[in-house]
Amino acid sequence: MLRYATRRILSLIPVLFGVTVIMFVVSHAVPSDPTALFLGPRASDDPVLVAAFRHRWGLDESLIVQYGDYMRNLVHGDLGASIFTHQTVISDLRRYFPATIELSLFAILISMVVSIPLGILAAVKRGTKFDATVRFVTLAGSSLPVFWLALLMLQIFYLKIGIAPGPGRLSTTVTPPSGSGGFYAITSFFRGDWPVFFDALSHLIMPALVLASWSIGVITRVTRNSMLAVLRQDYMRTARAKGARETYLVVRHGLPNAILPVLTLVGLAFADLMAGAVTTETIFAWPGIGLYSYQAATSLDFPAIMGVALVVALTYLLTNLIVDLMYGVIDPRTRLYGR
Amino acid sequence: MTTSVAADAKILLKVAGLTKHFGPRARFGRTRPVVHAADDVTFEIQRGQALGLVGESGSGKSTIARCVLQVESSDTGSVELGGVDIAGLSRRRLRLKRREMQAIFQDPASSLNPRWTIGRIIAEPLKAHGWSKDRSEARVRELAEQVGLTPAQLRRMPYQLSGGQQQRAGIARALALSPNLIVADEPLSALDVSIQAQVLNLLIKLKSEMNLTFLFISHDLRVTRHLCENIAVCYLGNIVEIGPADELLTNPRHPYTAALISAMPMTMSDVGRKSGQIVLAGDPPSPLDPPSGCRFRTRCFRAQPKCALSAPPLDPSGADHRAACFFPLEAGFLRSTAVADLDVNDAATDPKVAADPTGNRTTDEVG
Amino acid sequence: MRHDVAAEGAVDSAPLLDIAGLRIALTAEQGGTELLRGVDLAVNAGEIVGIVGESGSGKTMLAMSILQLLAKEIHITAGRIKFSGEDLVKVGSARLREVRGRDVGVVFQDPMSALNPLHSVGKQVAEPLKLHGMAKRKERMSRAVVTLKRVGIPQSEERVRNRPFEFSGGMRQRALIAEALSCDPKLLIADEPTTGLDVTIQVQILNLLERMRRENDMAIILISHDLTMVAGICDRIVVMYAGRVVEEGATADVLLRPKHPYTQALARSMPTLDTAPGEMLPALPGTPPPMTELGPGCSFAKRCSYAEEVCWRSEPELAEVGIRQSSACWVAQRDGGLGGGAA
Repeated sequence: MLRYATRRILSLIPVLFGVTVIMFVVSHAVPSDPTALFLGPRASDDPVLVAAFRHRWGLDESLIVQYGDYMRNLVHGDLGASIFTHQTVISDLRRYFPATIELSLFAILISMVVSIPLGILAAVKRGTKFDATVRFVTLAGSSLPVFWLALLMLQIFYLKIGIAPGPGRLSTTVTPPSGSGGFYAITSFFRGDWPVFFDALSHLIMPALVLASWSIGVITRVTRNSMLAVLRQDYMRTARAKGARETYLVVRHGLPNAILPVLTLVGLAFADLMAGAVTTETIFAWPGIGLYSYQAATSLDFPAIMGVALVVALTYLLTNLIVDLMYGVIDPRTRLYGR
Repeated sequence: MTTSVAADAKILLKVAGLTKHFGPRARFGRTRPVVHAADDVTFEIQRGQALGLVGESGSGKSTIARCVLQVESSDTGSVELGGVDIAGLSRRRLRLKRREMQAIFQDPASSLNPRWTIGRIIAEPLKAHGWSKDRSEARVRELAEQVGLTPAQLRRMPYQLSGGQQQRAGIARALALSPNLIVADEPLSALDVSIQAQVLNLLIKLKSEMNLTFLFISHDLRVTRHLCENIAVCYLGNIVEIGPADELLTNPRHPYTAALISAMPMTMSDVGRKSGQIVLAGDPPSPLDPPSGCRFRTRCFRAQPKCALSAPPLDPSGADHRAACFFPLEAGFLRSTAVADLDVNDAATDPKVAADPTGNRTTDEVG
Repeated sequence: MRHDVAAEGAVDSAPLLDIAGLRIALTAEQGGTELLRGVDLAVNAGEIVGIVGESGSGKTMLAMSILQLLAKEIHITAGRIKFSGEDLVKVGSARLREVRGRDVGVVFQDPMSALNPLHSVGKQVAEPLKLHGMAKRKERMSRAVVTLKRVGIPQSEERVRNRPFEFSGGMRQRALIAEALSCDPKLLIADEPTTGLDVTIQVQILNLLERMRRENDMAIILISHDLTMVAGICDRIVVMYAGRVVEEGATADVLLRPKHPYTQALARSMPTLDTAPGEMLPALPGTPPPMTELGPGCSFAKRCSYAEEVCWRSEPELAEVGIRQSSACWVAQRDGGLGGGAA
């Protein structure tokens, strides 16, 4: 197991490296120039200003040199400074990312708690009305456009009924917990600071539900299909022949086998959420990485773009790594064949 | 028992020194293990005769078949078809030579394209070699009649046919280009017993009518003996015994052959007789790490220390019936009382024979 | 958990397993076709009975029905299955679960897929013990080690922790047998236990089954399509065709002096050292009829060389022809046998 884990971890490095190269090349291949954007139309006519700007931001060097500079800084933990916010990219990320992390965690938690049991039950009760209802509801959930759903929820729960809190992560009257590093809900939970915790939670619920609507649909379906395939297996019949109850069969024999593809999917869905949901964050005024990356992309803020790309790539890689390791624990065959 | 040997009978297929190992490949400092699939395999088949290649899983018989068909390239050794060494041919010339040898496979369902009609499946080799549509159709009709398929069945899809009928289609396809050699890899194993007899009859008929030569791979000695004049027994990549079918089955010389024979009742009066079975101990060792010396020694009831030191060659005496064993069995062994003593040679009860699953035992433990 | 002494005794004491008039069919939504059309079968304690038939004969269906392990779309429409006097068709699910694994063990056909790939072999072998009351894990595992040793798996102390993929095909089959034997059942049902395994391993497995019968006084139902393999260890043979029993009797009688044309044809169509090589075998023409297309007459008539007028009009019942041998054939019943025995 240790060898398998080491192999998997070591394989991260070349991938990360490749990501930086690709992102760098692609973002610089975009045929627009940040200079014009930042200086404005009149200043761009002044070659001295343009040259100064380009020199300031290193844009007058060749691509390879720029890349070399970037990597050198990266290794020292310096991701450069955002052309737009004029802050270091790292501090920007520190500000925006935790919001997305909390939102994603919550959304994926909701998804798993709802989808997996639902999927299992739908498989066990295949062909019944329950099964059909589940399939319909999940299909609807994943087909409904996110922004529409978000607006609808705001309309109903905030405007009409008035039980939902306002925009943002915390109510204006609540101070964020100190030293939380941006993780409001998590920090307050562990500190037992219940008023703050519940406030943060109430702000999390709606955007999390909106985000979860898609993943619930997909995860339920995959769980159901996986469970159906497992239920047909011969070893289920063997266990039944030994005198096992149906519940025992489903939980002890079926579930461990069915859960594997679901794990992969949950990992992917989580990484997806972590990349930031621009629409949802905008509607709920959630200051997360979705907003930041949108801003960076539209202003051709290269350092910020690279920073976001790196962080997102790292998230995907780490999530995959965790999924792989979990596979290795649950199914020993992967340790042999996985490379 | 050989069929009538005509004055101009030639050797159609001659295999000499065929060796195929899979691996090793070094990768980041780790070497992958070598699979000794076939080692120094040598045999000949005369035109119009059939050689049965008998063995269990891991014996290498499928690898040998694939090397003969040139689907795999062997590491060393020659494969002569009609006097021409096909192992070294260029692709273009090999393609032409391929018309002379065709294959029939074990699982008819998976060897027939499920989305094509039977007629199209049978016509495929013709199309590949440029036959015109009319000629093709006529030939397909002719083939269908020979193998016992009706014209209506030609229009069906494979899933609409029974296993036996699917196999007939596979045979028709193999015969399309009038090959000389047919390599049949367990063609009867997936069929029901009563259908096996039907298809076996078909093969016998085709063999005599078209003077076909067969390399017939099987694990069933009785079926093999019915079709084949000669039988070669494989174990872990080596041919351990080869000879005329009847002779080999009544007086086997290699202990493994004797064990195989005793596992299947050879005559109806054998059936129901519960004694006289040779029960080999343990599982066949893996071709990844074959035992030193004679590869069969770990399961052999006659093994001696000498057997671990060097591998016995196939008796080079040139006689018809040869075995690769230092201590071959005497004639009449199977019917002797010595066999009754081998009855309870079971892993659980015999501590000397039990235990090592890799099959690699030291010379101290042998014998 | 050994069965009590009372069952031993006179030969004609009540059979351990007594199946009478069993009929199985698909549900109405699936077409309602009958798959078993009135099967009688009796198995005595300590007996090995072989059920032989080709695909579609219903032999696997028969085996599955004993413990009610049939698929959802298949149900029992008539008949009784009495095990130690209790009709398993009528008992509740709790009692059925008790019988499964404890009194009756099943070994399924495909050792590759019949074991859960994620659980250790030891855990699966010990599972029947767990399901039937043995609570302590250590106790169960040590029993599992012992059972694995009995079935001939070497180094069982280490191997209990292995997962199925680390076992070879023959060992997996033996592990499956160990699973079924865990609670020392009185009856073992083995469905094609050697199909797909190497011949030399087949011999080992059959030997093992025989030894289990001797040591445990366990009855075995051995299902196979291979007449000759089964004959090696069976006391009695039951031949099935198109969902019914067509012949039944002592092994030697059924094989050497068959009294049903199907059995006779089957035996003759297998090449042996006595048949002349290269000669056409007396192969049975045609294929078994689909269960949906059975007419009023004998289901075998179409392929039968003895068929007469009466055979097309009505289906014969199983009746005694000769000593301890029964056949469902008009001709055999009338003449007391068939002209010309096995080749």
